[in-house]
Amino acid sequence: MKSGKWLFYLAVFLVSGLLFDNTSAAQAETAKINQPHAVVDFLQQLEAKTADFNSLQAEFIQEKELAAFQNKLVIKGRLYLLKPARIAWHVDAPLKYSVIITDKALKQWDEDTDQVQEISFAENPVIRTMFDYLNGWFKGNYSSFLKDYEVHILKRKPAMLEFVPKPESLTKKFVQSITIGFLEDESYLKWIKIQDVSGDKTTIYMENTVFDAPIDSAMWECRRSE
Amino acid sequence: MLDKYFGLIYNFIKNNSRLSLCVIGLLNIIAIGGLFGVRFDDNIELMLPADKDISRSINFLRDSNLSNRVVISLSLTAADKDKKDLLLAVDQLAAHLDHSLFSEIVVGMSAPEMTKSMDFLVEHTPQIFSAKDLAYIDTQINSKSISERLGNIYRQILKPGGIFVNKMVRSDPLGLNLLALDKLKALSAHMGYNINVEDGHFISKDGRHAMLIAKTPVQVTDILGAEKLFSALDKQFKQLPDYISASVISGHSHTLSNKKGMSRDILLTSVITSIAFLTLFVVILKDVSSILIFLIPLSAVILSINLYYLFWGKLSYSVVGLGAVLAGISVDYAIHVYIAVRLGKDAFDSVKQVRLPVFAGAVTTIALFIAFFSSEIKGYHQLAAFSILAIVLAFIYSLFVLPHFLPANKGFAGLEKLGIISGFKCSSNLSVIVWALLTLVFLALSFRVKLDSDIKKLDGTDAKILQEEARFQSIWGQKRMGIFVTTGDSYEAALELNDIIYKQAINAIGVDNFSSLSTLWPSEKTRQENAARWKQFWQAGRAEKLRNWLEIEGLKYQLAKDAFSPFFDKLYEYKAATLPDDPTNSGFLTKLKERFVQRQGDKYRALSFFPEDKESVAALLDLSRLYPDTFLVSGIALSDSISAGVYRNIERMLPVAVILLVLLTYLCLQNIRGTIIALVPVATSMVWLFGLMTLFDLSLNGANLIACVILSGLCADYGIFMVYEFRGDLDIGTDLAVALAALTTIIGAGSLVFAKHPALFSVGITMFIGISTGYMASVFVVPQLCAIFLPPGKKIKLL
Repeated sequence: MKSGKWLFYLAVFLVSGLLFDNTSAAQAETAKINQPHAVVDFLQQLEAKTADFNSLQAEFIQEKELAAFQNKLVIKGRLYLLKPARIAWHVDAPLKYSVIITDKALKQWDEDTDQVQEISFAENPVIRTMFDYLNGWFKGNYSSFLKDYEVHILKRKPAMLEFVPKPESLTKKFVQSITIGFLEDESYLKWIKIQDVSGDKTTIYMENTVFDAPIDSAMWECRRSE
Repeated sequence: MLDKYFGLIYNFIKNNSRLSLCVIGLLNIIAIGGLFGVRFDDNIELMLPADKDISRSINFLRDSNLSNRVVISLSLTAADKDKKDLLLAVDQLAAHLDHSLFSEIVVGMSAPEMTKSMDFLVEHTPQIFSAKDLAYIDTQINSKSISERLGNIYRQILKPGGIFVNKMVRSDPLGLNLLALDKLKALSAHMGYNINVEDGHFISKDGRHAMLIAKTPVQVTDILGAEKLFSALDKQFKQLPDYISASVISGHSHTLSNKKGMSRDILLTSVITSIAFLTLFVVILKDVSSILIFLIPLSAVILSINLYYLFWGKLSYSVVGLGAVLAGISVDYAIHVYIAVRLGKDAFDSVKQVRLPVFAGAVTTIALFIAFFSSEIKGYHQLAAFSILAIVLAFIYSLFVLPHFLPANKGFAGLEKLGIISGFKCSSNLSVIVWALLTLVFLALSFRVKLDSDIKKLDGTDAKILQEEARFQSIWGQKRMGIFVTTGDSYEAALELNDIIYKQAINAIGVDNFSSLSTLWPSEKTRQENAARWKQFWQAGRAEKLRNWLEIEGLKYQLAKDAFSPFFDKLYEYKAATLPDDPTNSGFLTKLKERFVQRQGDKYRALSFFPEDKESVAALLDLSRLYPDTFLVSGIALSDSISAGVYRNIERMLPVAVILLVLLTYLCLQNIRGTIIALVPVATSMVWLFGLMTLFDLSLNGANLIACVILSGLCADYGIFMVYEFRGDLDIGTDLAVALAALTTIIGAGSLVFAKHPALFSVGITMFIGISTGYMASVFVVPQLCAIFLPPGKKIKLL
């Protein structure tokens, strides 16, 4: 049994409830009605601002405060995004890892195994849904989360929002809250903080975000030789 | 003595012809009205051999909830529409289906169901992990494996999806949940579909098709219910957007198609037969009174249906479907009487001359049908009883009623002018030599005739439905699955036997080929054993060993000392003490359990599924024979059992039929040579039939073998008449009568050649070839053989 692959599948499987439900536009529409108008309006305004780019590149620092680790885990890397559906997530430290996501499949590689693994979304729709979900965060489709989350506006300028899973949401089982903070001009995310139910915390800081600059074609390569 | 009674009855009807006509007319009006009240049977079991395996399989399919499902596949037909449009259509259809016809509709698996199932499995890990699973875990508790696993965990946490695995890996460092997931995955594979689940819906791999599975209270054999079901579906399909096409896969469509096909064929063949008969008698013979000949078999068949229903109950559609053939048989007696009366000077004398050969013909045919009673197939008993009734009625009509309504001594001016009356006497040495040579050729060919035991080829399901099923299979990759059933007086007993079978079945056909609930939710006894073994496994120092390796190898990844404390904290806290009888209220598992365990009366049945190939079926049949409380439900096994049963019955009927035929022919002719010659058309029809079937690549099957028995009786009639005429020096137009008799039977049987139902077509083509060749032998060969082998001048006395 390829335990790595299966662990990944299982993770996806377990959170699939969260993922499944976010893809239904019709359901999200219904959920909007149940939210305070002010929140819905605010999210739509934010979406309008963040939608104004075709490509994006940014550096990220992911800090994980996990009970399983002695120290804080700091993961550094780069994010590349090309609309409508292309994402590259390159981790540079503590180990090199890359994942390239298109609308048809994902390819991932890490330096430990030095193997490229390709997963077709047609054969693994659950994984597709998971990356649709990530797409939602990175592309700024925030109102699609209204069905499963209570949204609180913590700060209006620059925006800071808190997403708390609704009691009936399956996300509630894993996530206590997700908080997102925006850049000064609210053109994109500055950070995402995920507090899980066990007390573990993950924060992703986005830095040096550049919009619509040409992206080196090498960034869409999965295997890295450097 | 017989002559006396014959004369008495004949004269009584003659003297009371008006009264007789009124009585007969009234009876027929009642019978026609009665047809609307007669209920027909579509129960397939009637036509199946009385075999324990067959009836158990059929009962299982009827009683289980497996067959009462309708699978609907919706497809996108417009390129500019996508999955969202498709899923909207699915939800719209599911919401509007009539719940009285579709009691439960499943469009997919919801995330809560899946999560609930996983939770349930995780909670019950000690109970569901077998000794083999523990042996595997044991191989993982070492430095190398632990290091690899921690490396994997570390990498997973670095990945984008790692956000969600933190908590999970702490309580499952060995990936035991994955083993449980493997079990669930293997078990769900039994559905045989190639399905993805997206947005809680069943979707095809290309995302262009969606599937709904609906449970229905309508039994698969319920024709009226099936009609309602499809009418409701058609109504809803019309409401779907024009870019959506729908197709339905269900046993009900086969039932309905077979019934419709059979009804259409019966109507078509009846119309063809009627037109042909009317053309023959009215246009060619130019005699309106000949319509009576046509009416006799019609009346006999209608009265027989009523009488049968009155005394024995429902008649099978298949048996009634053979009515056209029966009409061809029962019209023969009327033809002989008709020809004799038309050619004779006095009606009574003419009838008197033909009464004995007509009687002999009826008796030999009845004898053949009597042979059907030696079979164990109830449908054959029906066919025999129904046919005997029709033959007896046709015989009575022909001898006692018909003559009084025919003009005597009128001849057949048209036919005589054409020389047809005398032209039949064309038997010569040359014709015998040609016959002998051809018979030798066909005899050689007949040994190569193929026997097709596949009863599915006699299934009359419309080609459109079969094409739709093939298309469905190409989209959803549905596999044919067989079912291994274990039974028990209790839920536990059925599952305990299921556990035993599982262990042996995976050895026989491989673990990947046998989906059993035993892999995921074994019997309580096994679960208790598993739980005890689990506890013993970890208490035997393995827990400490694992903890040590995790600590040592975890240092490489800066893992905390207590990183996996959630796993160790609950190691002995699994729900080992709680052993619920069945996984109810646990989402997808509950659905699986419904699929794998069924209650039948006070018995329980545990079902396991396997790919239906010959090797697996053979291996599992061997296993099933070792355990009396188990059986297999498989298309291949069922087809083999039915074929074996049908041929066993034919083997049983055939000697009885042959003995009765030879004996009665001898009794009629009272001459060994005469008997042998009279049976020449029978032998000819059989040899030539099998030879021609080889030549035209036709096969023998359960349906046409029955037709062979029937046509033996008819051909024997022709032989008896020709021998009787030759040695009896009669001038009653036997040649013409035999020709007409053969022609009418050929018309009756030939009309079945237009039938779309393969069973009817097969019977039709067999009768067509058999009667044609038997007739030719009786006209071209029998008279010459009589001239050669029967001493001249010695008349044969019938009976």
